[in-house]
Amino acid sequence: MTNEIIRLIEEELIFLEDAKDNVEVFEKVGTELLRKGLVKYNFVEELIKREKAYPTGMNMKFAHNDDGVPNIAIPHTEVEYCNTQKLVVVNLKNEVKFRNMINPEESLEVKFLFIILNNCKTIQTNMLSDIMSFLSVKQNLVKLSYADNPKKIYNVLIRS
Amino acid sequence: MIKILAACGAGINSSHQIKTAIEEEMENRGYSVKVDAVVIKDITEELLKDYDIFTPISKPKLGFNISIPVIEAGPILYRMPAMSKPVFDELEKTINQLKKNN
Repeated sequence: MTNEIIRLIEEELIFLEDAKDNVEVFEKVGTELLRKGLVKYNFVEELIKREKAYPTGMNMKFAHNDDGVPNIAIPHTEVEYCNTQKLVVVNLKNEVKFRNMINPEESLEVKFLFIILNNCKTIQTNMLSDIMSFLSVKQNLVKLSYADNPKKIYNVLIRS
Repeated sequence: MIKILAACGAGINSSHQIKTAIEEEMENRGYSVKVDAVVIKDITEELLKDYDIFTPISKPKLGFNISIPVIEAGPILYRMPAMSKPVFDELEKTINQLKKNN
């Protein structure tokens, strides 16, 4: 990850969650983010709405041609629902279904979420492309799949 | 100059990433293109008439017929040549077809 995005990652914003569907994950993580003042009161609602209309799942197994690689999703809302710029990472203990961004009819089992919090229109594009660059290197995903606590996840991210 | 409209579902401006990638790659391949990036909810039938090719992340239901060629550009976001090459190839093929028709 580039230095710009490393600044936006914190161990306290790396979560381990166990949920039955993406709505439950969003509610759990979103409530915590709201508590910390990082998002607006309707953030969770918007996250759920946005994911339903424009899903953010990404098929990394297909991209890397390796079933052992975890799938990810990049949930986010429009700028007005965030109070800051941060990258929130979630490790899902049991994989959760998300639909594929580039093929919304397809459902994917997702292991990691990269939730982009961004209240500024101009910096958005860099956050997304930095995350995608990180994910395009298979080794990063493999290391991530072995990271089972926030500290380990944090280290994989900042050392990439 | 071929005019292309890139669109995303709003939020992180992924259409902008697609715009940059298409402009760069098409220039490398020797084509003169101009790409605008918008959010799907801002697209109207009127707006589309100004463009030659529509490149959404995935084909949306707009509520009206899309009369220009649609090329799903989502794979470009992976930032992996294996994923984006087919999209660029299809784009090139479409551009050549449009030039022939003119």
